Amino acid sequence: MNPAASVFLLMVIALIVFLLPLLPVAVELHGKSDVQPLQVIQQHSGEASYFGDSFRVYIDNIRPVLNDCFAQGTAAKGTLPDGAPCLVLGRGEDAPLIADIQAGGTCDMILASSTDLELPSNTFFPKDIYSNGCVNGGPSNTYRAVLAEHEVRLGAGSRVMRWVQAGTEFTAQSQCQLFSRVSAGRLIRLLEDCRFIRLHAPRIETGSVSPEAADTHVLRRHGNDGVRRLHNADLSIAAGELLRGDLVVRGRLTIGEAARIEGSVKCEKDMVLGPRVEISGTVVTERRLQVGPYCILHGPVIAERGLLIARGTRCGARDMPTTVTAPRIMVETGVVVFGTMWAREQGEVIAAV
Amino acid sequence: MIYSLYAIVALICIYTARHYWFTLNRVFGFQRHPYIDIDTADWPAVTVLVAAHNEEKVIANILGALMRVNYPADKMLVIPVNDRSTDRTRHIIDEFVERFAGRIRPFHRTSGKAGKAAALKDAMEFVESEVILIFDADYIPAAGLIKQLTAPFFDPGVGGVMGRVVPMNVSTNLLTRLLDLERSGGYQVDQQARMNLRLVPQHGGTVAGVRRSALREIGGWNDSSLTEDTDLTYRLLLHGWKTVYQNRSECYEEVPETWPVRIRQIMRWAKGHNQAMVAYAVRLLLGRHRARLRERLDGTLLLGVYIMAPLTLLGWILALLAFYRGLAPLHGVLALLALTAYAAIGNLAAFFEIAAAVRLDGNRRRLCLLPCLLLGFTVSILSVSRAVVSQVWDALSGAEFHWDKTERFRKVES
Repeated sequence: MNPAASVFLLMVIALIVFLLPLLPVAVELHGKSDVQPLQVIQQHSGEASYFGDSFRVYIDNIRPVLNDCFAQGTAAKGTLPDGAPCLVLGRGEDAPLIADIQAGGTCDMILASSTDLELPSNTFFPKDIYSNGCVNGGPSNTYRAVLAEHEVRLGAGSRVMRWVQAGTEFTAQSQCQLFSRVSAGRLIRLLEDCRFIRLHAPRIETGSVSPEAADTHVLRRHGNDGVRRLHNADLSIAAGELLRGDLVVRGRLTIGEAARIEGSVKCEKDMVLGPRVEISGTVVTERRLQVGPYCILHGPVIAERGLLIARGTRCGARDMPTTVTAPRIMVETGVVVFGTMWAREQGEVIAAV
Repeated sequence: MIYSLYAIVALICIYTARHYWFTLNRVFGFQRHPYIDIDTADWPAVTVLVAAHNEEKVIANILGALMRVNYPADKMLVIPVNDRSTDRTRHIIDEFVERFAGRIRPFHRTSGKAGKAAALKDAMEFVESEVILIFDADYIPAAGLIKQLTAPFFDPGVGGVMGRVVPMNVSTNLLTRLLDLERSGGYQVDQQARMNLRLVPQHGGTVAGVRRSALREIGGWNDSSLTEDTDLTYRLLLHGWKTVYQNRSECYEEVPETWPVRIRQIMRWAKGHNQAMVAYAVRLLLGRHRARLRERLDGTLLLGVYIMAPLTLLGWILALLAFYRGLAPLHGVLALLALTAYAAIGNLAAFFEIAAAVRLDGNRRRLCLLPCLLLGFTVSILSVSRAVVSQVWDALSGAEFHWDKTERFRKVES
């Protein structure tokens, strides 16, 4: 071969080898197959009731059928505009009598009821449920999602895979597992051994709490004096002590019985609150937080690793709701939270010691 | 000469290790998002400052978006800081003030020192709330963003908060696509890893917030700084305040669409960052203050990121000189091994970080553009080096810093 041609060929081959890895670049630049900006949800901010509210809009498609069935006291089968099969009940209390909703089976249709809905036990509901009244579920059921305009009562050992929204009250009997968000217009009550992720209601109770007990002691938030105290080591605050201003502690923090803090508290290690501690602001720890019995915590409660709340404690107030959040939350029966309780990994209601 | 080369290579290796550490932490480590779940609270009063200098193309978008957020309207006041605009910015702001009476209080600044920090400093006399959020005018906040950026201030240790910036004009051209990749790496991996590791997340001066009492404690805005955000980060740190990063508090921005605009932007960042380095590096590393050792080290490395560009150029020159003078660092063979290892692993570090970030964002095909980042990096290295030379020259000649406003590209809505 001509030497000049050989050199030229070599250069061409070298150029091809060099450019070959850039071929995908050229294809992507020309084809623009992945040019959408990262999706940022602009219209809502992930409210607990978002799914329930969206489902209500969806179910409005069959509102006339619901009304007809209610007027005639009958049931009807059909499909929603997107082709999803749907069972409409004019009388929700008749549900256990309908072949598609037999106990121990699977009801593979969206269920919509004009009145209170009675559901049998040991049944799997892989599609969403709507009731214009209440939903009373039997024990050991598994639900995908439930929306009720009034109360939702789940039997012991029930499971919810996605969400529940109750217009007024939500009650879960013992050993229920709520894998995602639960919201209610008035009250959420979880009994012993229930597990949860995200709860949102004006009032959240674990176990039985007398309504008065939790509301009698209302600590108003005081404007603190703007002082921020920084403490570089472990710190113990004595029982009964009163502290005004914000406190930031680099080590462990222990707050003694009946101490009062009129401000917020931050701790970079574990924090232990004794019985009847009152804190008017936020409680934050980068590790674990243990809240003793009968504490009153007014502001948000944030524990980055884990949180244990003992009986009789109250977080937030009726007119000043708040958020309690940690990856893992263990909460004894007899606790009241006004607002949101959010366990990223798992929350659990345990018996009061 | 050879020892200078060793020192530069050692610095590059430190930054390489840092890239890997951050990326591996972001992919495998415990992710900190402590405040993102606060969705119910007695929300405090908030003032939102919108810095605007000749922003007629974009100001209506951000004001409209702010009027739609889900923060209690009676607790949020928007102050557009109209800094000596000569276009229709003032007119557009006044229209919004009329439409949303009581929710927007304009500050039309007609004179005074140039620059965002100076404008924000003057605007502080209108701020009454403890929580201050700051946006540049080309940003478009989502409905829940104000709550998300306010939530960290419930923590009494937090002085500053930073959200994530997301380019919206990605598809425009190669530059915008490269900037999208860089932003992804910078926020999704770099900032979040710093948050995870309790290091020094950087305040970005937009999609960001600051506690008023903390700002007062550190002496307010530094109007002689070209990057008031970096300056703020370090002064907060030296006074024992934390800056936290919220990776899920995302906000759209417009990135530069032309190379000259990008070069001017990066030169301003470099100059401002280097100003902060001169002012705070020694004090941060060796001084008596409240920062922890890990914050001192990371903060110092962060201050040095822009000076690494000219140092890398210098390293290349020194390496060539060493080669032509027949020097064989580490007896040749070892040097060859080191070079090979660095070329194979070290140079990959930044690309690895960006690739991990892009995958974490759920994207895939845009990774094909990674080789093009070499172009972006080259432009950055040359621009930053030029900025450093010009900064040194300015310092020697006594010239004042010049504020370059980033040009906008959005089409004005009719």
